[in-house]
Amino acid sequence: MENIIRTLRAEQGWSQAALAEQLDVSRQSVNAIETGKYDPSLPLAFAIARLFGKSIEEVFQDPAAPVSKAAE
Amino acid sequence: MAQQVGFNAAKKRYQRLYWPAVAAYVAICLGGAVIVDKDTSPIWLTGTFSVLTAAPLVFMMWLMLRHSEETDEYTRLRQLKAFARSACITLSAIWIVGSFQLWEVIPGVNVFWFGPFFLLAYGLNYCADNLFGKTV
Repeated sequence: MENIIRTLRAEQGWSQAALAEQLDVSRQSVNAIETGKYDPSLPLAFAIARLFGKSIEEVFQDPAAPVSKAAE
Repeated sequence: MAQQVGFNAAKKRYQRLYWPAVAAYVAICLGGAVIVDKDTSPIWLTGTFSVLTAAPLVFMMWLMLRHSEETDEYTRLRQLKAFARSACITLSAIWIVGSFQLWEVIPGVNVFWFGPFFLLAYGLNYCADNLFGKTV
């Protein structure tokens, strides 16, 4: 699963540690999610999206999902 | 199963008990070295110190498991994977060494050393996840 967490985090000026603190997870967790090494559970994905004021679909993208006609 | 309390609270709860357990282990080891003489001490004293020495180690292992249950999901995944792998490695070593002993290829081995062996395997497996591949 791909995501734009690194971009959103940079926009806020947060370090990985600062984001981890707000989500109450380890800094390694944030790094693993950002680099696509780990796909978070739904509750954590919702918490991340909520923190950035976005929907889950805006933050996480499924690379295997069919491309919509609008996107084409 | 313990409830997840989050990474920071789980870490605090772990460390609040871990360091006293380490201190107790060191104190018991030092106390044992001073008080117990394997050749002359009565069996009840040697036995008591055997149990006392093992108790903090057993406690710390269950503390590790509680920490895994309470911490965040990614840390828990890494810890439990390392726990499972190191348990497999340690059991394999026990069966191999045990077979050698059964067939009297080697003399008796102190079972105690499989404990540090397990912790070493756990540490190496835990670090290995940082270095290789995708976790999920």
